[in-house]
Amino acid sequence: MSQENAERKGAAKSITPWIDVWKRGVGQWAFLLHRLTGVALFAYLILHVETVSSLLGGPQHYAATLETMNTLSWHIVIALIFAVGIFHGANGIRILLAQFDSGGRHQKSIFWALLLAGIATWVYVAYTIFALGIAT
Amino acid sequence: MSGVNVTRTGVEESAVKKTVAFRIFRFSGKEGDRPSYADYALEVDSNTYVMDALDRIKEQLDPSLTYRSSCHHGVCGSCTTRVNGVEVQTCKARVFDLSRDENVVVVEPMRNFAVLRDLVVDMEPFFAKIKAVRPRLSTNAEGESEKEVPQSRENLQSTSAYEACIECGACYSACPIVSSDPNYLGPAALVAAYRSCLDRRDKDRELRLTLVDDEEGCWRCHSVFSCVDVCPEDVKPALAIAGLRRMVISTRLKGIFQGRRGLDQ
Repeated sequence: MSQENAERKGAAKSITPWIDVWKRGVGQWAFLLHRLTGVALFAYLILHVETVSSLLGGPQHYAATLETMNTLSWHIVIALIFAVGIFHGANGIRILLAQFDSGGRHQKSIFWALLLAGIATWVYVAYTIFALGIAT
Repeated sequence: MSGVNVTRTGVEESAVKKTVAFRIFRFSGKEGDRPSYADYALEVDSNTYVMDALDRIKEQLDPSLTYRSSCHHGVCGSCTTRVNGVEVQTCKARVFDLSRDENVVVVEPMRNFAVLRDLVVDMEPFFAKIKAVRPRLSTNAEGESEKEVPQSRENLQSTSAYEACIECGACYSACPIVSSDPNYLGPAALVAAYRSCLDRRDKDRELRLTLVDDEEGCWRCHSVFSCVDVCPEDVKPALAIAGLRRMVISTRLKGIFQGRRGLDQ
């Protein structure tokens, strides 16, 4: 079967179903967001390495680099990174629990419980970031 | 059966009718032809199922419409298709339930299958994957009756939930991992493998575990649980896949302590 005909016939490889979330359960949403947050965390890792590498220029250069990030815009970015990291970690725990029978049977409840716990955690973290940021 | 439902308000639902637009996927299957959608308007009532609508379209509006049906009461799985983006058996899907918000019902073939024509898909690769995991009982017949190999009641309770699979393909269609990796065995085949591995009479357990202990086997699942959401028999394929993983790990660990390097040694 030619690739073109395979596409017409619906048998070709596709990641379009990855974003088919509107009529699906929380598991499909969690799968999509886990991938998106994973990409975001990878991008953050590169940014983090870039920032820490300023230490190679000495302590003053490192402090100056950190000072440039002590702005409201950067605080918003850091707060978003925390949100991304909290979701990715919490969903990872849910996937781990789903490898066991009781975790799999209650994966929807576990998703909502971890989501609520994650939001509460993020609210505390965001308050800390913005409160400390405003203070300095 | 009277065919009349009486609601809490006392209204006889069968008296309530409405016109619904059915948007149906059409494809001749011939090389060079492109898929399209055809629209058909039908008056339906609360007792109209999607299969009834397809039958009436075929009889009255367009005899060329092609689709599968068999038992007409939800036990064979032949009529499984996608309605409004979700895998259902058309003989169990009521049109009124599907068209509450808009009077449009979209009917499409299952995903991840090659379309032969209209709503009919090629099930052979799906069945081949099920056969590939050897879902048949292999017993040690020495000393046992040739006619009967009894299974304990307790073991039967473990396997019966997974024996309910009717191989309709709904889980395979709903799985986004099958879409991006057509070589993945898929939920139904892994359910068949798990069911056979759970059966204590079976002597091919370790052989079957080597078949699924693969990047295209039980380790490809990403715990999306769409298979569980769409299964008409409540088989819970995702739990079976997790069970297979635990079996593989357990068998490997035992093998390590027994001096074997892998499942196949």
